[in-house]
Amino acid sequence: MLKTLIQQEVLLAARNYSQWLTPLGFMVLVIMVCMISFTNNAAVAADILPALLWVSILLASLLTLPSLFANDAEDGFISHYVLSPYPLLPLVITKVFCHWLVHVLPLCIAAILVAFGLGLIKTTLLTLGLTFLLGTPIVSLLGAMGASLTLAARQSTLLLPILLLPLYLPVLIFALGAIHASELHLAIHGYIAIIVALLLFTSVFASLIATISLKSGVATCSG
Amino acid sequence: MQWIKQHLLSAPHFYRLSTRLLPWISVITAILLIYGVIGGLFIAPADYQQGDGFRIIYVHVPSALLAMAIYSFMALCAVGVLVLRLKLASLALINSARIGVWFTFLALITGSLWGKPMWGTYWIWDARLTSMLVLLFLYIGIIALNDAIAERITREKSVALLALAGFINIPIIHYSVVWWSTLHQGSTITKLHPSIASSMLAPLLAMLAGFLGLFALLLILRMGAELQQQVTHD
Repeated sequence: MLKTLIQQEVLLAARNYSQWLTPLGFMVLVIMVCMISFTNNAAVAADILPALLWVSILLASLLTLPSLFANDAEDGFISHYVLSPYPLLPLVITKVFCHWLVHVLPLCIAAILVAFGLGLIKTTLLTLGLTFLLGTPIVSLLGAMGASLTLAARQSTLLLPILLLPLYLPVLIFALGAIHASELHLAIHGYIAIIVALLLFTSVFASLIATISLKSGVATCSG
Repeated sequence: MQWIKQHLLSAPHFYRLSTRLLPWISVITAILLIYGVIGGLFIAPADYQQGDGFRIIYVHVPSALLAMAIYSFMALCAVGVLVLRLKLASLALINSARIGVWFTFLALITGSLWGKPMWGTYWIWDARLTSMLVLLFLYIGIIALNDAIAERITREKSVALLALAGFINIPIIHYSVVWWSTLHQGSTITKLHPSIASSMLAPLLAMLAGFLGLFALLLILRMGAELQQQVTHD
């Protein structure tokens, strides 16, 4: 069941490529605009590059969130799922995984390619990749929470940044802490451990809140 | 529990009780605030290091503590909404948010004005300051979410869930000065032996109680107004 869902999401993304290509284009544009505005100061540009990549991923991922549950809620899939005997939590986690796979992973790969192209040194590049791998699932999890909470809201595109960007701060701080430490050739284990802890914590609580929120949304629609 | 739910926490009973308590709360709050302002600004001695500049503490500390206390109260209300399905709890939650956002704003502004002469900067990305700013955005997010959802039950539940999710920030704010030793000083009064002279402490505690009374007063007025509005609409 869940495997079919994943296959279906990937197939949908492959057919409807503008839904993941547009955020990707947005991310590259954000990086381009910032980098061009720093052309007169190459040292600053090199310094801020990892932070800029992280921030541009956070911003681009916001664009993908309104559609995360909206289509399934609109065509009644979520209502049917809630009424079925299957528990909702695995569905939410699968949706989060698909969101990460289809929307966030391309952003990470593109960001790493950009970093490589702009000449980030190898150890920093590896740390950047590691923080992406462990940190961006948190972005998807919190994003799913935000998307489910704003499902019934008007103008969810305007609401999501206000709700989510403050919650993204911890992962951003520790990811950039790890990158900074690796630039100074210091140990990064501590930062990585905290990111993993954040990942475990959000995978329990954010998915739980998203589940409760979706369920209550269905309950009020039908009753 | 059922009795409490039906009698003490029902809307008509709350309205009757609160209108009866209102004059008492107003008088006590006014006395506390007047004593706090006079005691803090005129009677308390100047600080040996900061001179008269320290007197902003009488606004800064109460509003910062209130900002956190109100959020904790909102998380409690959120449990009331989600678990006990109390109608009054969601009313208290959103109206507390609308008041709490101003206390948070006041704490940030007074702190920033205090920071310039004492630290040499209005703002620094210190752990305490950053987590307070996150609290401000949590308040704004809760209010924005509440105003964006039209359907009542979905709105109340979504707002309660968001308030609960944001509650994780409160212990981070409280322990930020312990975990990260950055610019903001540690706790002065919320510990067993306060590191502040009693002539300075008494007005501070009065201001704190006064701010708490002010919050209760504003909350009761807001909730009462909204309950009346609901009655006239129904």
